[in-house]
Amino acid sequence: MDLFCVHAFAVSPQRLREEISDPHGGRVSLSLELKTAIEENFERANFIDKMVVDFDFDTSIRTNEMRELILSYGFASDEDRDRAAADMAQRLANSMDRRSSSGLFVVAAGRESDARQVTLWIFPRDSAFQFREGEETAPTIEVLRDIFSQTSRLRKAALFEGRHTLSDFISGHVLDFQADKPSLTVADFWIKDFLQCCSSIGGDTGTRHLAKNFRAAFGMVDSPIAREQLFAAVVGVRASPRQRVSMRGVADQYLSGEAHRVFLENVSNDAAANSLFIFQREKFDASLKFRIFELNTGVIVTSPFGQVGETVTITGEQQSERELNCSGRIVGEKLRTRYA
Amino acid sequence: MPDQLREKYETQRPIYEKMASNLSAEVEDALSNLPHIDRICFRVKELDSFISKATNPLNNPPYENPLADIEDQVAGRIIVFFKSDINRVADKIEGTFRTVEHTLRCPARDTEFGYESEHRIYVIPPHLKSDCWNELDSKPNTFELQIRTILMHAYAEPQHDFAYKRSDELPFETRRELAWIAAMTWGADKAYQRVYERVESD
Repeated sequence: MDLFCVHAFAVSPQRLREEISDPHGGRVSLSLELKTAIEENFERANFIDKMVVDFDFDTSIRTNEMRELILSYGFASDEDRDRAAADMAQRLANSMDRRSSSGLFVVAAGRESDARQVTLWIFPRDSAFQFREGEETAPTIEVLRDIFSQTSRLRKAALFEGRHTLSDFISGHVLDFQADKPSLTVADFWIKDFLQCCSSIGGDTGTRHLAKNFRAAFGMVDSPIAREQLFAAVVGVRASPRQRVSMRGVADQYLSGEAHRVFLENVSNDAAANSLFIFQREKFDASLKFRIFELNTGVIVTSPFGQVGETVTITGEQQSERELNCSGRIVGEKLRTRYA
Repeated sequence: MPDQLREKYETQRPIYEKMASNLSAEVEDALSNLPHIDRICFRVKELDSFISKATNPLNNPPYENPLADIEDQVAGRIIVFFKSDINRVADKIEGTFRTVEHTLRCPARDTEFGYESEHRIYVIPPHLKSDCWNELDSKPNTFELQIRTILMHAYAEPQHDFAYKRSDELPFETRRELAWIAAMTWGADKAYQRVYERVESD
């Protein structure tokens, strides 16, 4: 895409503030150096593999305020584009509270035929040292305070692209290293409050697929160590305070080697693997259902996942030494011709 | 243009079929614990139907890129027993797909009877997209899902067969009879709902 327009605004948090100060900035001239920097940031963001988000539409009239602004920025006249950029900057400032640092909001548009690509960035304010060594003067260090970091993990970005039609610009890719933070207020500011989006994978669906992936991986791994890792991961995910998880996040945090590889093989693509969803513990338990143990005595024990480690305990480190104990009051009894 | 479009649609159809099957499996999974589901079915739009919709001279504005813009190329239908099941199903589906648009198709005036159904447009989620899907340069981003009762369906399906004729081209008597069938199914739906509520409260 050919980058043709860039706007930049210095924004500071406005939510919960008594004195309101508007973002200041506007259209910036597109020098070769700036163009290269934006393109490098774009490359580094690797949007195609990043989390997918959908605009949260008012479904009765099929509109979303932020989508309208982005469409205006990509397709409208220069005057309307200026207004859309300023409105987005104001909206961003209003979405930020004192927990967010002030930053540089950059919005850029590229075009190719009748398609547009709109990227939105916030680069957090930072400080840096500039070291200078002259041939005839002593070296100096200058402290630069009014700079914005292109590499901070607090930076955020979003990409939306397509043509100006009803069904384009309904989803985008988001770069946000804070999105999986336990505090939803911090996590929500970029995606939910500013972009007016939500994860493309709903909590119900994501949780069901997570359970399905665990089940599939249990059946596919060969080594007992991998199986143990998968079970430990199930326990870990259930106990974690994180409310938002992704398939890749779970794999990276709890699994390695064969278990990691097989678990991710079941996910259809990178965007799906990286997309966060709200973990629903009850749904997870209901979807995962049971763990089945076969003992050397021929006894088969079927246990709900939630009871393993509680009323069903396993002792012993080595696979050949592991023993199972369970206790509970009998509330039902059946005769069957087969195990399951 | 229709020839090129026809050829391209036919080429893409197998990929759409796979998507329809993915969507169907996803919906079945999401609704697996809900009662009163009569059936869930997904289909890919027939070639002739797609071409006819894409090139209809009445389209205003005309489709610029029908392969991307027509939203019911892949579509599904959920048939439920009772009217109150429609919202229950819709709520469950909201947790599975992101809704873009929601319309209740029903007659415009309170003295009319005719087609009724919930039409919803959802975003195709990333985890159901195969590599083949992502490689298509023109494809829909959304799909349509209709949710209706058995009785709404009983009126809609046979009536759909007459849809090749515009309703004002049908004779007066035929239009009256269709309206009467619609009124009967509407009334029966209401009665079934009342019976269901009575039985449930006993």
